[in-house]
Amino acid sequence: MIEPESSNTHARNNAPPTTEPAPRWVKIFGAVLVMLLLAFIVMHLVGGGFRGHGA
Amino acid sequence: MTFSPWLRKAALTAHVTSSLGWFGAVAAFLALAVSGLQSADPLKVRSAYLAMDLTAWTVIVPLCIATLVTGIAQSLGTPWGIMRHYWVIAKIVLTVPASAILLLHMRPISYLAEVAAAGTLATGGEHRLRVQLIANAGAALFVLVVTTVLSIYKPRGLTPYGQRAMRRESAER
Repeated sequence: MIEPESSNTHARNNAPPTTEPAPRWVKIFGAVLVMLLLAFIVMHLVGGGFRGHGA
Repeated sequence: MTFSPWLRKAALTAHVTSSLGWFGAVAAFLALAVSGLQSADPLKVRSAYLAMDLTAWTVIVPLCIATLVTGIAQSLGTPWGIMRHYWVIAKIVLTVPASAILLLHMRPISYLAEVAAAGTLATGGEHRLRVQLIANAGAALFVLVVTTVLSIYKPRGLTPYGQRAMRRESAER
């Protein structure tokens, strides 16, 4: 006779597969990129560089 | 769409050649930009900015576009995909803005070449723009080194989309 599945087993099988979080290097890379982007914008705004591109 | 092994190697060869060519051309551009800023010889300064304009339009821009196109083709035509691995996305996130900034700075490069050709680039003239070109070339070299490191080391990490695609593919097998 086949044992019925316990509720725990059933819950485990139907649970949506978990998504692994982003590795640490991705988070560091993203943070560095955001900081560089902000620095770039600030440097251009302070120096008025955006309007200088037309030369 | 997956490339045949022959096409995959051809696309990889085109991508590596164009990206390293881009790196070399930017390094030459940086050397010219430094020389143009530091030299006291008016002829050398004039030659530097004329050569920079020519190099930028005929070598750097075509290689930049070739790198982008072959890189995207590589991603789409191989199991690496374009949105599956964080390292591929990181390369795109670096390369696309770098290309946009390059195209945005083509006008100042041509402007400096025109001023140099007219012989009106006095010592110390357009100093800020000349320094900016050095900074841009240095930043471009840094970005290209980072993208090369990412390509070689391929740091681990699947995006949520990549994880779903992987699960779907293993369920189909």
